Amino acid sequence: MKACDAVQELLTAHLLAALEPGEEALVDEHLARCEACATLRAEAELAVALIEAPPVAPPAASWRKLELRLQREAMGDDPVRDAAPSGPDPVIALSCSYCRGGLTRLGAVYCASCLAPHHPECFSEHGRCSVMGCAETQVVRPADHPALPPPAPIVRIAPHRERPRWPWALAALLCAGVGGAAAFSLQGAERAPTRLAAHDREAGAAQRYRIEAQQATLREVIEEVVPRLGRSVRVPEEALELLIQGSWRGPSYQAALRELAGAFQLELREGRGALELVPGEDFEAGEPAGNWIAVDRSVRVETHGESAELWVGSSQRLVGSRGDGVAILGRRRLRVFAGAEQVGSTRGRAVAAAWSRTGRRLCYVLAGGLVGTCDLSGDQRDLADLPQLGDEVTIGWLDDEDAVLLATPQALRKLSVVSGDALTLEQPSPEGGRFRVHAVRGQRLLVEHHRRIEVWSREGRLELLRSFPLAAGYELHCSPSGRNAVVLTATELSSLDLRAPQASLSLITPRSPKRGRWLATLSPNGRYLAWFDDEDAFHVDLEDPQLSLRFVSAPTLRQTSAAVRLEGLAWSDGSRLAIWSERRLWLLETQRARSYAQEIYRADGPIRDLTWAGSGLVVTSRESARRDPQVRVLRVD
Amino acid sequence: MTEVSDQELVSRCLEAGQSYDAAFQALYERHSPRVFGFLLKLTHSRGAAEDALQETFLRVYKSLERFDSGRDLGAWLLQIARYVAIDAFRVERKVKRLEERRASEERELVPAGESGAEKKEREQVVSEVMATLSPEDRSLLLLRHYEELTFRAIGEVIDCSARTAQNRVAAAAKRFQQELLRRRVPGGEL
Repeated sequence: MKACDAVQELLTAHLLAALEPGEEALVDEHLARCEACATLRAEAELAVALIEAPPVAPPAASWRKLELRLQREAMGDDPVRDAAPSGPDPVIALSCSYCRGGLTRLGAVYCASCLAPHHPECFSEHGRCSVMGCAETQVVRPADHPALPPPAPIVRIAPHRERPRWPWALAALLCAGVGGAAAFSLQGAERAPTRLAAHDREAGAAQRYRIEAQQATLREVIEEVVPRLGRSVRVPEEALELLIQGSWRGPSYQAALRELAGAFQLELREGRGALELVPGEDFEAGEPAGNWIAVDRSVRVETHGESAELWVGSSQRLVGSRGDGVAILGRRRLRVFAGAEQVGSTRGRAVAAAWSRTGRRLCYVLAGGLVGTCDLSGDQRDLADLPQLGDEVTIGWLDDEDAVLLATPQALRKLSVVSGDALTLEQPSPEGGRFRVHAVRGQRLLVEHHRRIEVWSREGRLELLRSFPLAAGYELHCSPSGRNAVVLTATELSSLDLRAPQASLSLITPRSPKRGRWLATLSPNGRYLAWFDDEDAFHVDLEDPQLSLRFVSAPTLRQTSAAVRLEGLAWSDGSRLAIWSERRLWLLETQRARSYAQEIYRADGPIRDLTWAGSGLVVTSRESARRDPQVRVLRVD
Repeated sequence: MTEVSDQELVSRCLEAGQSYDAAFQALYERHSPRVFGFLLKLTHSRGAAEDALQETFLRVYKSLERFDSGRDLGAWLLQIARYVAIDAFRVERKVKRLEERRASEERELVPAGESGAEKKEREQVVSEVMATLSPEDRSLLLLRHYEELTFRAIGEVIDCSARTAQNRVAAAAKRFQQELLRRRVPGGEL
């Protein structure tokens, strides 16, 4: 009973995933065996669902009142200030933090870290800031006139040639006064070749660069200097884009950044909710450094080192594009992100969403039948109201991105995203089949319909080209290219060449009952297939007329075959295959003569998800279903 | 229908400078229902929520140039609204009076048309339980459950680390649960 009392108090925190791992395990364990507490948990769940603050329109007069206050504010008519007694301006007396003697503002020097005032001679005598806990050795002086001329930049970015030198002592870090202009001297520290964003590549600049720094690496310098300007900075690993966060809309901050940019001879760019400082010349182009990452209950969005994280309820899901776009379909709203920046949202539950093939545009259907689009620039449009769509709808974009196909169990419709005109293409078949769009490529359309995979031509009008029957209890995977499909049943794994003039079924392997479960995946281009069962992993090139299976071997797999249970596969493009077990990850270069898988990572917790993104692998692991996941990006060069 | 993004509206407000701009009105119209709903739940008083709403947007207007465009504007508004509401509680010491008002005004807050007497009863219990919590606790539960924020994001709103935010949400949830259990009829449902 005592245990019940302790657990019952934690039920709401358990529902909100706010417990420590130990407490959570305790609650989970208890709930599994105590029916009374499990019932209470269900009740608590109903209660927690009612914790809400739905939007409520404020009274109409509220805006008018606010407007009046804003106008008064703009005119400087501040009743509080006006009511204050008039008199001479207040005088702020300064005293030296070391000797406690009086000081004038211009006669003082100020600690570069905490700005504590000192007599210059006191600071020299003490050798550092006299404030307890602050050991700063640098000082700043106030400007004797409001506008200081910008300091001459001493930082240089030059082509990479030699090894770094590490003379320490960050010299003359700050000059300037409040508002912070930085002047510092840097020479000679090497940085690794940098990955730059796609738009930089488009800009055409592409050379290896190096930063001449006298006392530190660029990273160290930035981390040292920028906080002194009153801002935070985060420098991503191996990345030159310096994302400076803070209140960057303010004029003083903008000015400070411009000075900083000038000092680094960098180009200043605004976008995606962050300010990027990109070298103006002499740098090496690379692959985009980031992409979106999907996990079960959280979403971490990363673009060019900038990241945002959202907690997503268990009833929500994520639809990601091949690029920066990601849509989160929630219980009450749909949110659309371009990288880390939210570019669109809708009120209401979305029942389906799909990105166009280029990943620039999202089409969504809300509960109730409202169909809309949103692109990465934030252009969001309502297209049509089709209440007959219901909740079971799938969306397929046509290649030219001027229309989408909306498939429901009842009908297949084409909807123009330009005009919003909807055209019903197919009504239900006599067997009562259900339409599900799998892929649209060129003029071909793959539709799963009443235990058949059908290839349609949409040239002119929709026309059925081929139809492949599917066995009972099938699981179907179509490649996005529309080239191949894989069919798994209880007894066999088959591949379908969907381009063949006649229905063709290529048997890959018969399944022996002792081999237990299996999992198969097609490469994005549909050419390569990989699968594993309880004992072995294989891959095959479906374009190979011999269809020769290649066995995946790895010393670690063999040594621990009894203990390792493979959990998943993910193709990059056809040349790399990631294979993972509960906590271990192997990488296979499939184009090499030997199919040798190398173990590249061991996760702290069970691996929940794995995605190829940009130039690396994004691995999501989580200690338990209720903990926020850990996301690691593994670079694969 | 093309909707101007929050970031664009903020930029337009900043361009307008000292003079009041239509872009700010657009921001107000877009976000005031969400903020007002949040404040109603925190203050349990329509009048106090209205005052807090005005104060919130006044502070937003004054500090718009410090807004980090990398952040979600909605979350930033809730952060300011939360401070305003809590300040109002602390400074004006109206907690007791607000609690008295709450009983009469609560009826306004229950959305009409909800189905099922049982659900209404449960709503009433949850509403009463929430009313017993401090505004800080109420806001934490709303931010975590209703606004679906991560602990890191909650930490930004309440100005602490993600770890601290998690602990504070857990503590608020525990108080909520204790109060919920206290109101439970022995052997019956909530």
